[in-house]
Amino acid sequence: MSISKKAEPIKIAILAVGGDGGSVLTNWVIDTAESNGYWAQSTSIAGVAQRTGATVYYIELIDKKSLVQEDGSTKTPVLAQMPAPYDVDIVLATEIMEAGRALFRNFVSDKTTLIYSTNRNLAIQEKETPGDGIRDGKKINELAKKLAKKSLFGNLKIIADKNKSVISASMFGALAASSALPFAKEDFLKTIEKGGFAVAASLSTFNESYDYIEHFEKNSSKYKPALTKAALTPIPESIQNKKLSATADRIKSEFPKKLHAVLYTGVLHLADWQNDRWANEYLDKIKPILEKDNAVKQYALTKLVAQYLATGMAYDDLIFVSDQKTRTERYSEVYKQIEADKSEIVHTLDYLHPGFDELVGFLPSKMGQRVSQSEKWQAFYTKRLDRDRRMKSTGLFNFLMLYTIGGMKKWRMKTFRHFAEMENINGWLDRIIEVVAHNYPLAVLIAKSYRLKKGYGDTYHRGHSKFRAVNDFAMAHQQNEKAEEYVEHLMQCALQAYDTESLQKQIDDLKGSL
Amino acid sequence: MAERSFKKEVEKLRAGDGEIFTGEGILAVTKALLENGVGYVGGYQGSPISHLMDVFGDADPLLRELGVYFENSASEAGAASMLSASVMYPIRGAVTWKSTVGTNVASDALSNLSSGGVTGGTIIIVGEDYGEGSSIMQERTHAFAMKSQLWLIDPKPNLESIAQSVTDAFELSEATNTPVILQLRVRSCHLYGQFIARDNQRPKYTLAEALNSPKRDTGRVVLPPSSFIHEQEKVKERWPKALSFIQENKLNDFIDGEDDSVGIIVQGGLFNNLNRALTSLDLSDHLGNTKISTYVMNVAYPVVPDEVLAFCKGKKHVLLIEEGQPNYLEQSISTILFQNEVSCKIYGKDVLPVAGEYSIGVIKDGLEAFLNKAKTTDKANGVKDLLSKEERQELLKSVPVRPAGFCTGCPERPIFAAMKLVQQELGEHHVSGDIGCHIFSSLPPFNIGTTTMGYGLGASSASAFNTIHTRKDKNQKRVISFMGDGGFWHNGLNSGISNAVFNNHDGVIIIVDNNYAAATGGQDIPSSKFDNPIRITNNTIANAVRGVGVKWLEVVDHTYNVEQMVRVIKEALTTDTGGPKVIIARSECMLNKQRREKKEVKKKLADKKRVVKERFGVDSKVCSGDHECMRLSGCPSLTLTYSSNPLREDPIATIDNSCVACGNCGEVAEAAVLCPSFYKAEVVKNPGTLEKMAFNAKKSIISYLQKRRDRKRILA
Repeated sequence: MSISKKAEPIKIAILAVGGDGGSVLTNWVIDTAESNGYWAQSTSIAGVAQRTGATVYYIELIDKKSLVQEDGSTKTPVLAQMPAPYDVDIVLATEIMEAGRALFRNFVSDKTTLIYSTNRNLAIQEKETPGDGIRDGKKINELAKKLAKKSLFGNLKIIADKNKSVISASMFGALAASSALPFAKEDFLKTIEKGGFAVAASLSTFNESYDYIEHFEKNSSKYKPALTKAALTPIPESIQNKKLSATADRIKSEFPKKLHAVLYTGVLHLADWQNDRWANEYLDKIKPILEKDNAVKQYALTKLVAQYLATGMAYDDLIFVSDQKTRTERYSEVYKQIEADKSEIVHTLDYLHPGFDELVGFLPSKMGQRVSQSEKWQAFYTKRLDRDRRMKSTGLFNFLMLYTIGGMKKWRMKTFRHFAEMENINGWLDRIIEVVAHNYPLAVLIAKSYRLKKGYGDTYHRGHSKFRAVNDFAMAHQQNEKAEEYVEHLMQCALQAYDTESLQKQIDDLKGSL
Repeated sequence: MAERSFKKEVEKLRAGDGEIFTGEGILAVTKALLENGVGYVGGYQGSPISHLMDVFGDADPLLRELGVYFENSASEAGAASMLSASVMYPIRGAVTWKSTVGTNVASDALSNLSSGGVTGGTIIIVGEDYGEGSSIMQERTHAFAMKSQLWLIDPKPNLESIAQSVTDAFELSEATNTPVILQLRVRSCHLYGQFIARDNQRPKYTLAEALNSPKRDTGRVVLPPSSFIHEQEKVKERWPKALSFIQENKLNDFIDGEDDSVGIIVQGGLFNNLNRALTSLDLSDHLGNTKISTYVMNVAYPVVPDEVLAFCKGKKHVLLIEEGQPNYLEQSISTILFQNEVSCKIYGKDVLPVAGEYSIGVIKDGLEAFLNKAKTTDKANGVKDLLSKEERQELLKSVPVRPAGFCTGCPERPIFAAMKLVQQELGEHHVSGDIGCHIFSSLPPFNIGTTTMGYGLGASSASAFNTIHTRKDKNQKRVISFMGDGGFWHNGLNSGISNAVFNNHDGVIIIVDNNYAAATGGQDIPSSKFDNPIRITNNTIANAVRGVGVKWLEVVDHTYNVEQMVRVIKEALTTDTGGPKVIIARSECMLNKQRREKKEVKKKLADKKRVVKERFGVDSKVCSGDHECMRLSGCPSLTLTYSSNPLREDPIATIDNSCVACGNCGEVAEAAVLCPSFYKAEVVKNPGTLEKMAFNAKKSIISYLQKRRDRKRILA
C-alpha cells in the first residue's frame, strides 16, 4: 500500500459559458491524455451552459503506469467528480467573469496555472442597468495574479473569431503553450486532426493562441478590459476642412487647454449633425458656463456641460435617423456587423415605428405646438398612423424617401421638436448658472442629470420626466445643505431603475423627511 | 429528435467480452442492462437521466436485434406501471427517471409494485438531481425506498462499480422478489470513464412468451387480504433474504485502516469525495487505500445490522457521511448500536452540515472536525480562505451572477415579451408557472410567474383562482397559467385543461408548444411536428384540447409575432366568454430548428444554390443606450458595447454573431415603440446573374447619392 507521488492525478477545471464549446475542449483534453497513456475521467452537468448559465467541466488525468498491479491488471483509480478548493492544477476560464467565479470558489491557489480569456459575455444584470452596468474585470485580474502560480490571459475569443472558430480551440492552444500538461505540442495538434471536424479553422486558432501564450511573459502583457469607452478626439495639428479648422482655432484661443478635446469632439459631432454654424453656437452656449467655472476645479463643470450639451444639441429626430440609415458608413457598418463580404448582396429591413411626438416634432414649431395638444390629432394618429413601418431601407424607393428626409437639415431648425429641445437646453443651462454661484457640486450634478435624457418614443418620455424630476428637486432644495447628497442619490436611483415611478417614490420619501 | 444524438456512441454498446468500454455513466448503465439480459426498458426523460432515454432511442436497432422492448413512457407513473410485466413472469425490466420529482409521480405504482413483489428482476434507475446543477427541490429518494420497501443501491462513482451494480441489482431483486432502485448522482450520469465489457445477452424469457402463456395469482394483487399478507411477507421473508444476499455477495466494501479505534461509514456514491478529502489530509491514496477503516455502503437501504455491528465493534469513534436530510442512516445505525449495547460514538450531522451537498471541501472540513473530536490528530482546521474578507466582498460585486434563461432565438421569449407588454397596459396579473423552459420567465429580465407546483400542473395550480362568480365586477382580473407541451402530455391535458372545462374555470391558460420536450433535451412527444422513425407524432394539442371541451381556443402559429401575441392575450383576459381561455403559442424550439436547418443550408451552399442568410443588427449611431430592449429580451446574442462616440457614456446595444434572426428584438422594438435602431440584414449567397445586375444598378445609384451628400459633410 505504498503511495507514490507519481500516482497524483492532474486536476483540470474548465469554467465556461454556453456556446463556448466546453465539452469539445473536455474531449480534446481527454483524447490527448489517453493517447499519452493516461487514464482520464471527466464530469459535467449537461445542458446548463447551453441555456446561458455558467458551468464547470472537471477532468482528472492519471498516469496508467501507476495503476498497474502486481498481477499486471490495471486498477480503477478513485478520482474526484468535482474540483476541490485549493486543489486544482489547471483552471481554464473562457470568460473573465468565470475566472472571477473560480477565484471566488477557491479553485485558484499557488499550485494553479490559470488561463483565462478576457472577452466579455455580459450577464443580464449588466445589460439591464439603464446606465452603465458593465464590470471591467480589473479586480479579477489583480487577484488572479496574486493567487495563481501562473496567471495567463488574453482575449482568446478574438483569436477564435478571427479564424472563424470557437474559443475552445484557442483555449486548447493556450493550454498547450502553458506547458501545464506533460504532453508535447504535436500531441495536442494530433487530437484536433483526429477529431475531423472544422480541422483547418481549429488548427489556425490553436496555433495563433499558442504563439500568443508562449510569448506571454516576454511581452509582459498588461490587462485591458475587452470593452472600453471611446476616447475624446484631440485637436489635430492640421485640419483640412477650412470651416472646421477655424472652429478649432476658436477653441484653442477662447478655451483652456483642459477642455480642448471634449469641445473638439463636441464640435465634430454637431458639425456632422447639422453644420459648422451650429457647432459655433454650441461654443457660444458654453462660454457663459466657463466664465463661472474655475481652474482650481479643473473646469469639471464646463467639461460635463460640453459633453452633454453636444448630445443635447444633436437630438435624435427623424432627420437624424433617416440620415444615419442612408449614410455611406451605415452600409459599411452593416456589412461589418453581419460579416458579409463587400461583393455580396445585402438587403436591410428596418423596424421603425415613429411615435406621435416624433411626427408632431417634424411640423413647424407653432403648428406642432397646437397639434401636440390636440386630442383630435392624437386620436387620428392612434387610428391611422400608429403602426409599424417596417421598411426595406436598401430598396430604391425607401432609400430615396429616407435620403430626402435625411437631407432636411434647414427645415430642422424650424420644427417644433427643435423649439422644444432648445427651450429645454436653455432652461438647463440657466439652472446651472443659477446654482453654480453658490453650490458648485450641485451645479455639476444638474449638468450630469442630462445623462437621463435618451431614447425614443416612450423611453424618451420616461427619460425626460426623470430629468425633469431630478432638476425640479435640485432647484427647489438648492439651499438645503444636504441638497447635493440627495440629488446624487436620486441620480443613482434614476440610473438603476428603468421606470419613473421608483424615482418618484424616492423623491416623495425625501420630501417627506425634509 | 433529441438535442444530443448518440448514434455514434451506441455502436459501443456492441462491445463484447474483455473489450474496454469508454463512455459516459448512462451509456455504461445501458451496456450493463444489455449484458444482463434485460427484456424491456421504459422511462421519462429529465436531467440527469435524459441521455439514458436518448441512448435507448438511438439504440433501437440494436435493441430489436436483441429482442428488447423500449418505450417512451407518458410519465414516471406510466414507467413504474410498466414494471408490472415482471410481477408474474421472470422477465428483467428497467425504467428510469429524474428523482425525487419523478419518484413522486411514480409512487402510486411503486407502492403497488413493491407490495405484491416481483418475479423477474426489476430496476428503477433514478437520476438523483441533488446539489450543484440541480433544478428541483432538494429531497432524498431514500425516503421512498424505506416507506415502500424497495432496496436502494448507491454505487461508488466509477463506471466499473456502476456497471457491476446493475448486475447486483437484478440478482438482488430476483433473490428477494423486490424492485431495486439504482441511484445515480448528477455527476455520475455524465461521468466519462471506462470498464471492461461483457457480451450482450438476449432476454432469457420474452414478453411474447408471457403473452402466449399468461399466468395470474390473486395473491399478488394488492387487495385485502393479500395486502396484509404482503406487509408481513416484506418484513418476514424479503427483508431477511436481502440482508443475507448483500452479505454473501459482499455488495458493501470494508477497507481496513491503520487505527482500530476510529472508522468511517460512507454512502457508496460519496466514496470518491471522501477519498479525495482523506488524500488531501495524507490519509489515503488515489487507489482508495484509506488509512482509516472505512465501511462503504453501496447498498444504502436496507442497512445490514450484522455488518454495522462488525464494523463498529471495538471502535470508539465512527464518522457517518450521509448526504441530505433527514439523516435516515444515522438514525438507523444509532438504533442498531444502541439495541446491541455497542458503545461506539457515532458522529454525523454534528460535524457535517445537516443539509446541502457534501462536496470534497465540505467533507474535508467535517473530517477534520471529527478527527479533532476523536483526538486522533491535532491537525489545525483547514487552509484559511485565500481571499481576505474585503477581497471576497469586492469579488462578489465584480462578478455578476448568470441566471439561466432562454436560448438565443427561443420562441418562448416573444411570448413573455408580449406578457410584459400586456401587463404594462392591463396591470400585473397572478401567473401560475409550470415546469419546462418557460419557467425561466420567472427570472430576469421577465420576472413573470409566481409558483411552480409540478410538471404539467400550471393550470391546476391556478384552479383556486376561478373567477367564474366574481367576474361580474369588470375590474376583476383573471388568473393566467402556463403549461408546456411536455407537461401537457405528461398529465396537464387531464389535470389542467379537462378539469378546467369541467369546473368552468374562468382563467387564461397559455400552452407553450415548441414541438418537443425541450427542457429535458428535445425529446419527441405526441404533438411533435416532425416524423420520428419509431414513434407516431403529429397528434396536435389543438385537437386534444377541443376534444376535452375547450370552446375558447386561439392558436398562434408564429410566436415571434409579438403584436399578435399581445392581441390574443389581451383578448383572452378581457373577453366575456366563460370557461377556460386556452392559447396555444406554437413555434419550434430554436435549438432543434437550428440543428435541422444548419445541415440543409450547408448542403445548399455546397451545391452552389441560392441561400438567404439572415441576421439582426443595431445601428450603433442610432441606439441611444437606454437598454429598454434588454428588459424585453434577455437574448444572449443581444448585448452591449461602448459607443464609438465618446460623448455617449452609456453602452449601446449590439448583436453578436450568434444571432439566428428570430426577429424578437425587431418585433419588440416595434410593438413597444422603443426605437428605430434594429434592422434585419439578408445576405444573398449564390445569387443569380439577373439579381446581381439589378443589385449593382441600384447600388450605383445609391452610392452616387451617398457620395454627393458626403461631399457636403464637415468631417475631420
